[in-house]
Amino acid sequence: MSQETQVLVQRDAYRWEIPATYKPGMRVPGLIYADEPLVRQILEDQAVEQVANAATLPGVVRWAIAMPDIHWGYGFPIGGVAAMRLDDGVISPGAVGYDINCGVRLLATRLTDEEVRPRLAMLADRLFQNVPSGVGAHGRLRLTDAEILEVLRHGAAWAVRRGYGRSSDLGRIESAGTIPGAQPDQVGRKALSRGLDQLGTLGSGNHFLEIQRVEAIHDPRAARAFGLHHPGQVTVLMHCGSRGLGHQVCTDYLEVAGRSLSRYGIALPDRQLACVPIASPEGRAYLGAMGAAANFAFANRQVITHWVRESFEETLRQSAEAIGLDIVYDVAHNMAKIEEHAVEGRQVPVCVHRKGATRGFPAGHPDVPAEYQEVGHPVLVPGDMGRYSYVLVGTPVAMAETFGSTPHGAGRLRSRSAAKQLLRGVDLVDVLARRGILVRAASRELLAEEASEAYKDVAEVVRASDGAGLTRTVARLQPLAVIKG
Amino acid sequence: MQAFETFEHTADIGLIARGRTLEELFANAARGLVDLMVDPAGLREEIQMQVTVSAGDREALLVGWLNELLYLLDIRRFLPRRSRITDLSDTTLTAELVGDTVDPGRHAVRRMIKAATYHGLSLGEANGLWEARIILDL
Repeated sequence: MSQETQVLVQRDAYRWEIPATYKPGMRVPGLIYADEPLVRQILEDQAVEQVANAATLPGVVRWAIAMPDIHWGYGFPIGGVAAMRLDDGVISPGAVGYDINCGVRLLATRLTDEEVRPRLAMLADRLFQNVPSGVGAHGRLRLTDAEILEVLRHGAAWAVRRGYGRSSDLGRIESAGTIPGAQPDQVGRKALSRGLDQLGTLGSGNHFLEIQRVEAIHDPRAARAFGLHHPGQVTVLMHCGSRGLGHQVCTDYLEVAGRSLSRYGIALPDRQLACVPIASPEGRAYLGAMGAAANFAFANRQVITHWVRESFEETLRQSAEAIGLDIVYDVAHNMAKIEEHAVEGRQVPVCVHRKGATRGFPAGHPDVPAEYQEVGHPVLVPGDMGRYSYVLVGTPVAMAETFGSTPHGAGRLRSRSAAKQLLRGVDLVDVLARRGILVRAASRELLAEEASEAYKDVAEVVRASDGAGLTRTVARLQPLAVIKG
Repeated sequence: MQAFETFEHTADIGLIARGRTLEELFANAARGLVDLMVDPAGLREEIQMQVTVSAGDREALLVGWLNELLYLLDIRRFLPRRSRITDLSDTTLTAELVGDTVDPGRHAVRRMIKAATYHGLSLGEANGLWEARIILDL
């Protein structure tokens, strides 16, 4: 083993342990899933330290886990997973993140890229116009005080009931698009007011809406189950979350948790990890508020889906039903969920924090939709806008080792300023256009920060995840047009 | 004294704010935050408002102050060109803000900031100069 990786104990080609002796206060070891080249990148910033910090949280079960796309976040690492016992464990708003239920949704069409290519520019313009994005964008919906409470209680089901989508959509969303036990009355006034005109907005940063084509199918049986039939088939991928409403819920409950720490006798290495016992009044209140914010995010992606369908109808002059645009799946990657997992040979409920990690339940799991029972539900792993994204499935290995968790994306490689420095003087829109990828962006400045050069190659992340046995690759998707906030 | 500058963070961005007084530091942190989101030169000074923020301690107050500005951006599309801290204790501040309604058609938008975080947060004074380091979630 090389000098740089000495803090880690290599268990096999894809598993690296951070011993519990690495840092005072660690209750369990840390476990990083990565191959050696990825580990070298991971060691370059403070991500390992953050995994060790996550291992200090009260009630953490077995180990603090890091996916191959782990990178330095704030408090909890991005790509981090930790499960807590319900009786003596904690829930941490910082370990879910500001963008509660930030997630990804994939739609499949019956179109081929040749059919879409002549109208691709028009389609991109229409999507850019119909789905508000970027700083200061007005949402097209203005909810009343009563309506927003309904959104927070019912999530995507609210949107479908209001005509945004098809009833068949709900079965293709994690938790059917409605987190049970969501408590809108635990969401503060400020958070509610931020949400009133943000439903149906993409946001900014790494959020996007992408028209894609299937580039390759790796697992034909699973792909067929997911409605991905052949290379060239057009798909649509969106990545967004709970917007300002979710950010405010996190802000509010971080403050609650910060104030409660001494009362519950919790000492932490990083203030951003502020947490409260799951079983405490504050813990229950956060779980209820987080569920409500997660429902806002499900409704957000549902409303955007409706506008995507309208945009295709308007541009291609065919009905959305004829075009398809069926939901393949919708997964959250910033969330804490109470789930049953095998711990020391018994099935017990634990609170699984996934921050920048995707649930990936395998074939046969009761929470997998009926039509995916034979293969497991899709895991959607977006790459960067210049390369490709992946559709994977979770495996029994992930179920046994990572509480059914899988990677969520490429993971950043370069800081924003480093990416901008590298790309100074490069017209990214032009570079991508010459490679057949159209870009519509609210901010050109932001574009350089989101360029391929800023990210790890998501193929390396997937290789490590498949190599460790956490996932199996089903298909790879290539961008045709990208809408950025 | 450089009023504010940024530092590297892999996924997010770090902001350093300075001031000869704590009031000046808080005002400069707001300038830094706004500068990351839009070109402040395009912001008019046509809307005035007063805000009061409370928190458990001085560091949390800095986080709360910046998050309050992000809240105002969301609900009123307002960004301050200037801010003046008129009252400050370890747990409460009152500020007067003068600024503009953000309009992507009129302003050079740079990026959106989700929140100010507590991760790696520091605030201290050395040789008569206050300095804070704060990581912003993008």
